[in-house]
Amino acid sequence: MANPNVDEQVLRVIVNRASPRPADFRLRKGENGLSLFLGSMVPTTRIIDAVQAAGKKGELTVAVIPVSLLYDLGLTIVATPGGTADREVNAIHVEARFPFLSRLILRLKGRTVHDEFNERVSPRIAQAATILG
Amino acid sequence: MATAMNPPALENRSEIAALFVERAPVLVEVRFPRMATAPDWYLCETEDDLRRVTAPLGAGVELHLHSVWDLRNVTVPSVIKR
Repeated sequence: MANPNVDEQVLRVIVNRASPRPADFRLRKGENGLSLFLGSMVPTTRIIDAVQAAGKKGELTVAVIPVSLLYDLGLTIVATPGGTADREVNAIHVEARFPFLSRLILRLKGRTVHDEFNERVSPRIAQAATILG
Repeated sequence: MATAMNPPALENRSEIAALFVERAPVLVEVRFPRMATAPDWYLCETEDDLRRVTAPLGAGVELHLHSVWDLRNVTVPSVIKR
């Protein structure tokens, strides 16, 4: 899968509320990058169904994030297999990660990838993301 | 103590039982790895509570269990006084 273009969008499944929150886009320990699905390749209802089938609670919707924002934040997008039970949904799974050089610089500064991502990147994504109407 | 496990297998049963007996309540983080969504969180007092949480979960989900007594407040606490 080629890297998405700047005019494309990626998706994150979130609990439906007035606006996305930074907590919807935080990295947990053990995660290399923010788990996302590429937009417009599989119906969003199918993506939500796949996540719901895994047991995710709440009324779910999809937050739409411009790929250009992720690139502006210094992230790369890497295709990795999804973890749902739906093969088609898994095929459009990607992760937004810091590139190797950025991770190295963070390490030299004594800063973890998670701290940097959650403090600097997550709020920006939450600000820019829109909920699919 | 933090314990991670795969819910369908519910491995480490004796460890989990001890966690509830000795250090309840237990904060349960349900992660959905590579599913593009944030974790769900539950506070469980008993193993039965945990079973109710895990019953509807599908394959590939991870549970991370922490006794609330092990939680550290690394920032300024939020205090509400009335």
